[in-house]
Amino acid sequence: MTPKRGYGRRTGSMDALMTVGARNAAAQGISRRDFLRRVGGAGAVMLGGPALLSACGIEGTAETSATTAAGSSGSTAAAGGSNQLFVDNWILYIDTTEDSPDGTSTIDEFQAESGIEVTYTEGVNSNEEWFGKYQAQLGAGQATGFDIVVLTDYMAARMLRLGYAEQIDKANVPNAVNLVDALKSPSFDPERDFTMPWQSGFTGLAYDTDQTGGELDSWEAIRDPKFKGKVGLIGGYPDSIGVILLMQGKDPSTASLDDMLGAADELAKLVSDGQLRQVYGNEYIDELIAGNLAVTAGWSGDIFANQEDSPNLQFAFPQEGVMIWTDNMLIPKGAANKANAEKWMDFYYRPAVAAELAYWVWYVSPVAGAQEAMADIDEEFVDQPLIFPDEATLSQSYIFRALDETEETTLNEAVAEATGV
Amino acid sequence: MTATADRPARTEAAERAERRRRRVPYLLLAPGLLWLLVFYVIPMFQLGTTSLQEGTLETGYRFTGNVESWTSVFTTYLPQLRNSLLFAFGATAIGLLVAYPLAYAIAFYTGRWKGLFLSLLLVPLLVPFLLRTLAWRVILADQGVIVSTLQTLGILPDATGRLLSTGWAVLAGLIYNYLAFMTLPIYVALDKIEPRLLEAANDLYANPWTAFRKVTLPLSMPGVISGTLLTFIPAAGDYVNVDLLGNRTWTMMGNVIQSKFLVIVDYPAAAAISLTLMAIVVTMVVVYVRRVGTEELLQ
Repeated sequence: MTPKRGYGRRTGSMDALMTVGARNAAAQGISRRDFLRRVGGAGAVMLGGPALLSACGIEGTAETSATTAAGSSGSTAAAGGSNQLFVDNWILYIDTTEDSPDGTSTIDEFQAESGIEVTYTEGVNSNEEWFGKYQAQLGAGQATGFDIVVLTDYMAARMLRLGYAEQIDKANVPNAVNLVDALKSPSFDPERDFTMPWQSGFTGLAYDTDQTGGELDSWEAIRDPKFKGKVGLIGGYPDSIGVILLMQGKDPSTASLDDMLGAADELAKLVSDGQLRQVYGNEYIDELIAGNLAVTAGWSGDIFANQEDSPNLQFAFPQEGVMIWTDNMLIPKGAANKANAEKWMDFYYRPAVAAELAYWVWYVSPVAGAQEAMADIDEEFVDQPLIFPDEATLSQSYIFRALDETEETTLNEAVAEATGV
Repeated sequence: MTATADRPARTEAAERAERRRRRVPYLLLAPGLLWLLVFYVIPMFQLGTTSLQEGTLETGYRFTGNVESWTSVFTTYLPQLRNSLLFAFGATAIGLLVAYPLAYAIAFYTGRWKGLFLSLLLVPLLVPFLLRTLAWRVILADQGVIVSTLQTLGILPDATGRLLSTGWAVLAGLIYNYLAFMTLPIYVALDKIEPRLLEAANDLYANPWTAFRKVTLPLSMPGVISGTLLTFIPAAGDYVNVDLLGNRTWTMMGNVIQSKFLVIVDYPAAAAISLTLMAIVVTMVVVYVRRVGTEELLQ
């Protein structure tokens, strides 16, 4: 596994915008998992103010979601004539014109071919923030202004549970057949009627060999007293509780709520013992590079992107397994240009386009055939297991089980309590 | 004839003018009042009603007069409340100790370079809040200059000692982030002091320390009050510094509110905790301003 670092493609355009620590972070090839997550949180509280206030009269959605799902495909015909498309995605999560291997970004190609004018924004700083910002509108039955948003599994599950997503008209997305088998039927959307994966990634064991003094192959390292105060975890229950469940030898894809609450207890112990330095957002990677962490849960693409500059960083698939998560495209309820959104999904499920995207973002491509198409771009990327995982890798990867609202609230409260809030 | 016909007409005109004049203050106040109503009174009212609701996103929220959210603040979140007040007090007190001499020096000793020093004070504010805070991660890193110096001096234990991800780093971040807001009002108050008052004190045989205590300090108190409030209030509600520089054993009320609102999606609890924190801070501010306003603190 000697990843070849592209052409600094993800850092070039960002460098000019940043200073001090942030520049450092960007130069280290930080991924789209925003280093601005925290400011996002701050902004969300401000932007969320009105949402909080109008929360006075939020209607329940449980009873209306079924009708939305059933009636949505009919409503798209009206939007057929529009030539606009509004996409909201995570930062640094799509190829740009200047860095494209063939000189044209995939967005440009899509626009030229379809005649659709795309407004692409990088407004998803965190799942929670995006939800907090638009919940009031969605709850009141108003459009968000976006035709596609990209959210991680658990938040996509919440959107579906609340009936905040439009059903995808599969007839408009013939390339959906290219979706890899492993992702075809997640528990929150078994037929993929509402969501299409954008990219996936692994949450595995990331460590600094300078500090560990050798290879690690078990999540036990997280509670090894040797690394006290030098251990990190990533926030959000699918990552934090998922990893602890693996460490306890449990299967996060089938674990009971009690198992999860048991994992939250272990999290509380890790925090109170001082074993855990901090529960991080995206900034865990800076802390690992700076030498403040010896061992941490980490996202595959981040480590891959930083190994050339920091050869002491390692990403392990521990013997207990790794978490695999997916960021999903979905069409928010009331989207004005639903048919165009489906065209966009179809376009990104062409193997050649998916390969171009994967070449840039370095996360796991959900499109079958992208691996073969990658050969035309760069041979060295074809056998990269972090982009195109093999069967053995996938069999060791666990998707966090979808929770219902009561379970999710209970678990969120337990995790909050464990982490001092 | 003509005179009697004219007179009531003139009076009417005068009355109209008088009425218009009376309306002027209200017209001038209208934009401000409207702003207050729309962006303060109504939101506060809605925050209040939200805090008494019950429900979930799926079932909807209904006003039930449920006060459970309110009691939870004092049963569950006392440590976080204590942290918020401790950090805010610490940041205000240490900030004042740093800011007062700084403002004094700029006001009285920088001469024609005053503008330059003031801009130096303000330049960091041009860098976004988040990046300014992130910079402290570099300054306080385990292998950074400060930590290794403290380790060499034996103040921090060698192997396990650290500053980043501790309460000390949170305190440092809070002091730094609000230093300019503390310094500027004090500078403005000091800068306005008439030098002849100090000469008069000197003529009356006051030594420099007495002159400072009897003249300069009382005249600068309005600046000190503004500065301390501009530091204490936002510091008490801060959560970013804990997230970026602290760790989960040092969480503040702001972190609780953020988690309730964004992660747990418990809007009633978030509203109740916000209002409680607001009430506590307002009470402390009122007591403080009244005491300092009567100059009791100076006696």
